[in-house]
Amino acid sequence: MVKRLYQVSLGLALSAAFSFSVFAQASSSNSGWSQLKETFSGSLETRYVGYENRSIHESTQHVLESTLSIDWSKSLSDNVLLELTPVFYLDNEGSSGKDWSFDEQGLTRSGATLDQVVLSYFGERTEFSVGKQSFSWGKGDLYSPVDKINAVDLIDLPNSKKLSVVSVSSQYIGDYFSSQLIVIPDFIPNRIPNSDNRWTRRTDRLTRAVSARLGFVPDIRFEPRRLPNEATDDSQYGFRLTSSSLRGGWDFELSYFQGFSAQGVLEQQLDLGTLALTTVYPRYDEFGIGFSTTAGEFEIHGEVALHLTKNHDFDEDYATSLIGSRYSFYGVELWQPVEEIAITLEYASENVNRHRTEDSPFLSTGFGRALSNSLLGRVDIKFSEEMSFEFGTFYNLNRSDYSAQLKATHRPSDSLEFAASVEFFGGPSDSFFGEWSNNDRFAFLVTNYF
Amino acid sequence: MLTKIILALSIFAFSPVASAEITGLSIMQEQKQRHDVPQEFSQKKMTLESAKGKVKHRRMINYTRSLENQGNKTLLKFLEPTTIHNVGLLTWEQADPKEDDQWLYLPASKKIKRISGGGKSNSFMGTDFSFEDMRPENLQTHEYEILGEEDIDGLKYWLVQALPTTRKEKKASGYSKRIFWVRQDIYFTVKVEFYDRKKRLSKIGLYTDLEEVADGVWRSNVVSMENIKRKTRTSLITNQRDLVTPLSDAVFGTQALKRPPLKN
Repeated sequence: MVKRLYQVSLGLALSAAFSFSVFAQASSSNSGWSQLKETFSGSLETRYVGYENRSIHESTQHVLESTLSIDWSKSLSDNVLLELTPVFYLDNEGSSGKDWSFDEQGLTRSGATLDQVVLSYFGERTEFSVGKQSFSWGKGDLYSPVDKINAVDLIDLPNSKKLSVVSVSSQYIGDYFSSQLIVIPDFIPNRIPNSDNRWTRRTDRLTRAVSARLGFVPDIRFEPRRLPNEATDDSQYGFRLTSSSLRGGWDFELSYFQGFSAQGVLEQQLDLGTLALTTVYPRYDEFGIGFSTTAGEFEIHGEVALHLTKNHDFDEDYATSLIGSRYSFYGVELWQPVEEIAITLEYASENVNRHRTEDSPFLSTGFGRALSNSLLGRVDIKFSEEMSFEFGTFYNLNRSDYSAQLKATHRPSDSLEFAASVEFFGGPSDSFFGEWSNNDRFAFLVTNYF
Repeated sequence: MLTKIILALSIFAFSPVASAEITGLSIMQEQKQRHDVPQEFSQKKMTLESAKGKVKHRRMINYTRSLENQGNKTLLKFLEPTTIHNVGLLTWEQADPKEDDQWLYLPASKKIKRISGGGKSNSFMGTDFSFEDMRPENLQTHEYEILGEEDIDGLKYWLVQALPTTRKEKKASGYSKRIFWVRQDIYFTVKVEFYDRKKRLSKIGLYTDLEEVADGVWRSNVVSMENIKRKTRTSLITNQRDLVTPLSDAVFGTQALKRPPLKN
């Protein structure tokens, strides 16, 4: 408890110091950032998902789930805002527990949580927020290598969702640069699918790899994960500088993050013919750089993230890069009903700069880093405000494995939305997406907004 | 009495419009000079009527700043409905031939995206207004010609035709020409006809419920745009306006796009 208080105090002190150092530069004139009011809104989403096949991990082929999300915000003074977003989940699959949880550290999704609880101060040029919140960094549209502040819930992998984290953020909005410092006192790992979930990784590849090295086939036992111990240096830090007018027509972003790998690595321990595997979370530094600009009617963006693992026993050092472009066609004459077609195309690559030490007892978990040499694409076709269609795909050029989604959305009113989608996965059975080729699915979604 | 007449004649003689020949450009310049203010905040309600009579509502706020020797900066934020709450659009106009800077903030992704200004002629968030309709008139990229005068309900109007002149404007604009009805007594546009690239009448904009919001500065509280081809109509009703409270530079910074709508 004392340690936790220390961590939170440290985060608050650092952020407050940062805020006040720049606050001195801010004018006290009426900024226009006042008169915050109380607002209340939300959505109720009900989704049916049907799978074409059974999975070796899970027999459920029909999933019905509901998510109720309520956004409530209230002004506590002219410049102080409190935002709360309670979220309630219910499903017939058992992915969501019946419990209430706040910190998102659980292995399963809670039936109820506070997705967001944030107290924010808005100065003329400063912003300060504390609470459970999520962030988005990077310039990528479909994938951002530098976007690592929040862990991800991968229980329904194609619909992965960021997990909010208790954190403190300070931001200064300058004329040429904006800067942001984030302090996260508590580590939250990615929530990966359990062994009875159809999106879990198969262990046969792992068994084969280990057998080849050991010369025999061991029994594999997964031990409880080992989170970074609760020491005072558990905190994670992120700092970002963004520019929007340094050079006309260009946006730049520089970032630094020091934290723990949210995905983790597997630690191997052989004990009398049984291989015990424990997920552990190596600490790393990551330096990021990104840009976006326009050239005629094209938007062009790119980023590079240099990932440096603290201890080379644990994991590799690598650089992930992304380059992409967006283009929109409007009022397509050939096809009169189409209002807009927006095409986004990105390419993601990875270079390993330093490998694990040769006798490292650590292995990759199999999740993450799937887009090492991949094309990402998305086409949005808007027929009207009421009707739209989208197609998205990830295609790994190394193994020719892929995922693809087709989705049609109809919005008869501002408060009601219907959607239908189909998703396909394919490729060699030992590839990232190919492993889930049995998980092709279709879904119907009804969302009420209030 | 004589003094008053002499004074009135002197003012008339030295006014910039009266002293020179009235042209299409001088009318548009005078209009800009009279009604442009350094900054403005407004809150608007938008009503979208479909061809089948279906009605949708939006609520939004708008911050504008005019900078000398620079283009305007505009921040627009949606308040309602829930599906687009806090969606923001920031525009920094650039002098020709530079492309305008434009950023869009979509709360669902929490990301600020730079967007191409190429879509100037496109529908603004599904309404009958296009992005170019939402911007102040650019006098450098058009030529203006007086087509004639009209008397309506005892008030005199100039009919001014605007044609795009620069290559960039011709390419980017969705209009081959526009005709403005400008009220002569207050130099204020009350009606605009928009002609598409094929020179067909495509939209009619009406500016009604006029109000003098500051000394000699007029605004229309109700703007309606009728799309002739689609048979749809969008109305913009201004229910709050502030021309006085200073707006800081930070309001028009990209990171400010993420902030929740504040004056709601």
